[in-house]
Amino acid sequence: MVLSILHRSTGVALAIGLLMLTVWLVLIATDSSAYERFVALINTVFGHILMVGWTFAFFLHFANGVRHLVWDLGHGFEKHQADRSAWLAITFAVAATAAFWWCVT
Amino acid sequence: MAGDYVCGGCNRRILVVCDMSASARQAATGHWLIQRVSAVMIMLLGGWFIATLLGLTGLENMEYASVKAFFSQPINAALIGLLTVTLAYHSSLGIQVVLEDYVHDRKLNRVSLRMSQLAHSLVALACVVAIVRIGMIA
Repeated sequence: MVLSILHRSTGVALAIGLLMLTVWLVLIATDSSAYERFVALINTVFGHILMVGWTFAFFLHFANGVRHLVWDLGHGFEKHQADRSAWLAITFAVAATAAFWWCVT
Repeated sequence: MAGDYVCGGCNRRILVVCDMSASARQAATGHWLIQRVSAVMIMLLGGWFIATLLGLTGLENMEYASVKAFFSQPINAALIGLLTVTLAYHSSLGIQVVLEDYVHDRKLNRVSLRMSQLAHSLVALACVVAIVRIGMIA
């Protein structure tokens, strides 16, 4: 139930994240000083909060997307199955986000 | 889909009516399929991008020179290009659904939809131009 609205909100957040990815690529194509300033901006506390938020949004949207694909194939509609896969998706998103940041830092 | 149905729970007949035109229905079915095909592509390409950020695909660090060198390799340029364009398409369709559900004023809905599509096209174009340029300056 909660995941339905979270799928939307993480989707919208990721659309804004795509804008950041675009800026990043454009700056790589532009010059090093603009790129370094952008990276410095990401390396602030606020920047890190945004990045952790976007990785969590990505992994949750990803896992819930898999749920949707499984439903499209006609499986997992029972209440207990849907509840279990919802918890699985949330657990995966938290674990993947933690693992990702543990690996890069 | 419009038609006569029998409820599995109470056995009563339900009439489902759809006010979409045939072309709108066809477009909606197309969007439904593209949204899922693009989702699977993003799962694969996004997995590659996450692995890249983790330094598993040959990118040593996030410094300008290494990032530029990495994306100037044809295979990496092709993968990031395919990823960003697919993301823009998937995002455009997703935002469209959100707009359809929350912006009820017909005119405002149409204007916001066009603006969203324009913004998404510009994002895709900017990414492709940037990737081509990285290949040229490296």
